[in-house]
Amino acid sequence: MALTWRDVTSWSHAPFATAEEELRTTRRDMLDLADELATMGLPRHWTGSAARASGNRLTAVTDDLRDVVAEVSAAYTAVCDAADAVLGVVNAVDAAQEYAGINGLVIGADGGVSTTELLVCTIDETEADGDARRARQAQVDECATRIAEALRKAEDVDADLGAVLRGIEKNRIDGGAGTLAQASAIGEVEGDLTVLKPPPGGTPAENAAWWATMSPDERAFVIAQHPGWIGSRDGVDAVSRDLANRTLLDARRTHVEDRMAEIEAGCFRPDGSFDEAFYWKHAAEYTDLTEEQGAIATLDEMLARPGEHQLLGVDFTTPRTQAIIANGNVDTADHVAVFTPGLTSTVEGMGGYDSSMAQLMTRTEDELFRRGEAGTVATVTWLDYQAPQWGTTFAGDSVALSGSAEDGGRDLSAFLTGINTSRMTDPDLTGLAHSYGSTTLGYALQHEGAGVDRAVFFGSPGLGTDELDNLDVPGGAAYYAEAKWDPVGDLGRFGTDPSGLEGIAHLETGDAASGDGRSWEGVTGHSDYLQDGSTSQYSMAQVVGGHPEDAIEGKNVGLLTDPLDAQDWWPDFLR
Amino acid sequence: MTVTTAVLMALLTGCTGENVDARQQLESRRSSAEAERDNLALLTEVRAALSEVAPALEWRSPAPTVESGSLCKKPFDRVDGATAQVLQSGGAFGPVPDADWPRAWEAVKKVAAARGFGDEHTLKDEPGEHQVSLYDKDGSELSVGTGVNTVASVYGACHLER
Repeated sequence: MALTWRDVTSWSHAPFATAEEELRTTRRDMLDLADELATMGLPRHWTGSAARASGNRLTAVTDDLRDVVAEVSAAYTAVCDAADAVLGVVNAVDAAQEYAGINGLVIGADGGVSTTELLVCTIDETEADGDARRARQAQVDECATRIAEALRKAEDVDADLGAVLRGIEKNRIDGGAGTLAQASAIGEVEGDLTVLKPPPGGTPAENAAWWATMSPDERAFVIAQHPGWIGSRDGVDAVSRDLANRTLLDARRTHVEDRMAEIEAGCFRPDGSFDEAFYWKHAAEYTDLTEEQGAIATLDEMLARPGEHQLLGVDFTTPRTQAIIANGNVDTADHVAVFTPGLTSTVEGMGGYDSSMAQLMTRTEDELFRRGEAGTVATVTWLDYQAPQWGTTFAGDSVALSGSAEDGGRDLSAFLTGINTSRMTDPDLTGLAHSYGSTTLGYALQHEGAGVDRAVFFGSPGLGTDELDNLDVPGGAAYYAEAKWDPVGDLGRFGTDPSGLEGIAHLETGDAASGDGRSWEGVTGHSDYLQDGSTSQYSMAQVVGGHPEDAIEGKNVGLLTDPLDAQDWWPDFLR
Repeated sequence: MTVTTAVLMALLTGCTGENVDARQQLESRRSSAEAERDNLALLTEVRAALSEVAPALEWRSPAPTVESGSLCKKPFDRVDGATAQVLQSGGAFGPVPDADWPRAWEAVKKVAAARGFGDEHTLKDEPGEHQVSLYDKDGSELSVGTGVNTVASVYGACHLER
């Protein structure tokens, strides 16, 4: 019979701890018998039928004892593992109930989630009502997912433990023909329960719910033994992802170094002559390895710098290495900004962006603290997509095509959602994006539920849409900054040029004074929006810190390069 | 790797190496370790100078810290071992009172000048809110501001690890 929510809410970890202790004692006592068996032999000169019968009996007893030791060992191992798993279930139940409590939801005895609001679309529903209803439904769904994963975990441990215990009951565990210690080792293997794998193709909410069912020991096991399960799994907390990704990075570094050395050695025959055929056969692979080596070196350097860094993703399976790296702690920060760089960005060259994000983090924190708020900030550089490079052909990652942005947008959306679902309470989340990265963020926000509170696009060739309403950003919380002499910002290649996008708020990029009288330095061109101390950086710090009202509004519109309806003199009735 | 192989592989992979001028520029600066030591000392002195004038300031941390380290921006982004740091005083609860600000700022300027910081940029100097920056010859910025609370940070220039 399937387990119910009522069943699992009554589960407790304590009985397993007691059973674990008793089985440990029993196993130890039985293993102590090994010495007695070793010394227990037949008298040296005793022969005849009685001696043979006695010998046979001793052999049978020893066989039985090995089986019993193996069974006790299996039971002990299974109960240990089950204790961890049950602790995970208990934690998941607690987390689901906490989530429900925080969000004013009610979990029924049958595991159904209810709310006092009527979550149906009405004919007179306003856009704001619709947004609120969908947000509320998302909370109900997330709570239901947490419950479902807790039950999936409970079913899994119930089935696994039941199988081991049935095996013991039916004497299916054979202790072998070796020593009692060897029999115990056999039992350990037989009693080993598998850790529940993540939901295949899981959504960030499902992944978060799965991870919530893991006990601390199970998490440590997954991080050490299966880092690939969680390194890039949106919905898993940042600290765990960071640990897993550092393990993956270590493994890949070793692979790259070894393989490059192999190829280099292989280029020369034993007599020292150059093997041209070998060289050309491995040239492409060597080029890829060199790219990976450069990317790994940059990541190593960034992670080695002081301060808190989190490696939230690394992917060597793509043509160019992809990575996500954070300054600060994404799990605990009050404000999180996720920055998507654009054209020509590579992991090997992402150090400058990381520097900009480090500065933005502290600028934002200083601004908050100076005004009397003690909010903490984390800034993420998200390069988990194939940012186009100059000279690439008209393939999916060409500068001129949207394929890379669309694919990246799907993954970026999941990453943003994952930040929210990995935490019990959502952080204040801002999307920042430059150049082609803004197209990627634009596509990401066309997926429902990305969950950003604000978005700042700058130097954008288009957001992949002609309508701001297509982006899942709260009303009035989408910002665009374009500097003078930024040709990319005037391309309008992917949807409407954001300078002319109706409803978007414009941020000043030239020399300007903020409302409190401070003066900031302007930037020009395509590449300096994040310059430290600049007007645009100041405004981003205000937006990221939750004070967009203090950002500096303004518009740098080119007379010939921007759309007519973006010009200040263009009549409103024609817009 | 043999020299021959290295050359061949470098040609094959289009390896261009780092910017030599940028490296030389960084080599003429203090090392990153020296910059870190100096900037932490500077912030310690800034804290002391501010607290002497405004004893009510309550610092959040026992001492200044390196908030973050990172690689560098252009033109130093391709230089091996190039590093930039942001250092924080920790921040203090409470403001430097308006009446005391001129004296406090003079004291800060004095300790900063001793460590090579000048080139004063006043962002704001009004009742209830003051924010000023000083820069050293490499471009490191000492930013000091007071409003509801008081902050002092160094946004460090690029230096070389060696």
